[in-house]
Amino acid sequence: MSSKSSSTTTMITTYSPSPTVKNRQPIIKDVDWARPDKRGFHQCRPAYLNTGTVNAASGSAYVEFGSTKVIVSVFGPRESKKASMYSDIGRLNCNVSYTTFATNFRGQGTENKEISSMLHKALEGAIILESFPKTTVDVLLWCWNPVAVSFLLCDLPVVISCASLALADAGIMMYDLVTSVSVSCLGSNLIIDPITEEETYQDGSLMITFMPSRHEVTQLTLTGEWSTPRIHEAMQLCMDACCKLGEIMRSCLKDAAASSES
Amino acid sequence: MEESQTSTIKISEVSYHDLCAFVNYLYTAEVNLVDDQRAEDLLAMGEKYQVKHLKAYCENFLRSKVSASNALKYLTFATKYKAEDLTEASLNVIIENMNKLKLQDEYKELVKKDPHLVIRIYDMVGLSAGEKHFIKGGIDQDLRSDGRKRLTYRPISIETGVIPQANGSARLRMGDTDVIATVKAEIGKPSHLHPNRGKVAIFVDCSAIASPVFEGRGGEELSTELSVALQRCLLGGKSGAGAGIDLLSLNVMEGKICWDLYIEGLVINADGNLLDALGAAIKAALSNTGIPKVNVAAEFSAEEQPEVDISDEDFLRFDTSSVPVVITLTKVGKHYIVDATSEEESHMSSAISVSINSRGQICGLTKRGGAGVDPSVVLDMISVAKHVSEHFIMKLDSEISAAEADEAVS
Repeated sequence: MSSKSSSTTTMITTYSPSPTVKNRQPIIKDVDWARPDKRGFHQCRPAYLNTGTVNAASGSAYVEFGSTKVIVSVFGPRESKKASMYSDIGRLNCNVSYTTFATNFRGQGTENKEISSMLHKALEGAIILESFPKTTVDVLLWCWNPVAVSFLLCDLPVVISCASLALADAGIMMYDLVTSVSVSCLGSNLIIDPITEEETYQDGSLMITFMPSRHEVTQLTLTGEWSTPRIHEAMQLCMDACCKLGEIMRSCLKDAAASSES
Repeated sequence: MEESQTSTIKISEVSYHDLCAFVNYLYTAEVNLVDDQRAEDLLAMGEKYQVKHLKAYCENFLRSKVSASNALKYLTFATKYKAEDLTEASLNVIIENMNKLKLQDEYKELVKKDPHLVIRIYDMVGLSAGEKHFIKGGIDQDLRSDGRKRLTYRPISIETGVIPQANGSARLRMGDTDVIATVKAEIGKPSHLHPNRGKVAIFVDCSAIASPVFEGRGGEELSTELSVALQRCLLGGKSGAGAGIDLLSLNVMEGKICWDLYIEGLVINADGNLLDALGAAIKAALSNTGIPKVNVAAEFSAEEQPEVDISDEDFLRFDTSSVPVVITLTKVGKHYIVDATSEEESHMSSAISVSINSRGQICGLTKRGGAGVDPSVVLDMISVAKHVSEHFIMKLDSEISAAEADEAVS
């Protein structure tokens, strides 16, 4: 105990409160530029997926993509709130919360509302809402990215994929798993699955949410200036990655089902 | 009656297992569609006993099962039980595989048994070049409920300078949709991340005047959706590439002073296509905007904020040539329409808003509506939007200059 307290005191003495100003890297437009985490341009971050992390929920998933961590719990289908009107199809309620300490600026802005509505739109098309009339499914989400300055869109694909994994774990009927991948356009390069640093310098981005087996796009957003052939190229790249991510998610669900049976 | 005496009703046309599943559904709202046959039987029962959820559910299930080998069977089945979605799905598959299917015995049988179904198939396929031309002509001549063609906009009228307090403002009417956009410029401090750029914030307010649905917090969701979509379209990428508004031009003194633009949109009357209307109104308001000239005091120390003198007389005009327009294509059934009225929007399955600048580059894209679409459809919609934008930009530019001229006269 005493050694521990002495170590903390030494830490205090050596601590210098200098603000961490990162060196701003120039936007390099040549081809042989390396990504900060040494990935190839068309290589996604290493992913870790797990289901059934929250006991209280009907279904849950924990996903780690690089430094982004997301936990999703799915509750329901349960009775809709009294105030809501009768509906012969089910309702989906998405709520994204971003931990207040997750970003450099403490507190939550309006971003989580935007993210919630985007998540809702991405999932809504995949869920068979007719299968639970009069009830609500709640998708509650908690996200943490230690290096983010504010909520950046680079986390959104992770959030969406994780939410669909949790829905599948909860046994909510869906037409297909929803997978999502984004690409950033940096100069003349297209880089897949950008991290925060890269996203700060990007010229444009494209995010797709995709149902691999049905080959359908549920959401698509694009920023920056693009020509049509380039959009085509980026979409192909994203869809290819989505299909691969879909397979990984499927095998994760199969493993979980197999281990619960045995 | 026999039933009153024996107190049993015989239901002979369904199997025991199907009936069990049906009753189970009525009590628990849960159903396990073990195979296609079960789904078909339950759909038939759903139609017979008017259990709409069950029918819709089975229909959705079967829709994904339609393939070239069973499409003809499902077409007959779906028309029999009035399952519109399934009919459409099987028709789509049939049309794609028409060449193969025509040779099958099943098809020949259908011609004998159900000629009206074959007519329905032929209604959708243009087989010969002549027929193709005829159908394409029909689409080109298509009339919407208000007499428009599929890709024409409603008449647009623009008034500029409607709000004297703002630096720039415009009111735009597109049919019954009525919006006001204002631009206010304030002196601010640039963020430390981008010391040489100004800041732009876009807000949209769906007022309760437009529709009682927007009262209280009702309009909030739509407001956020619209603001985010407009931000995406006008502000470009994180590095500032492709932005409609050049943030560097808002810089007054690097790291010290810049202009903050507050762009606000107000919806007065909502009759569909709000995003396109707001985008166009903002473009008009920006071209109406005069930003005062600023003189910065010559002497100041490094820490202090320099004194500024804002001129009342000299204004700088804003260059809006690179501000993109937003084109929303709404997908109704198999076709796309532009400038949907709220009536038409209620039928939409999904819509794509593409913002395009005068050079024909795509500056932003948002998909609205949850339903999934095929990637090739998305690309097709983008190219259609690009085509539409050329006319729209020209029309909008002439309207804006006419409005400016009117304002100068009055």
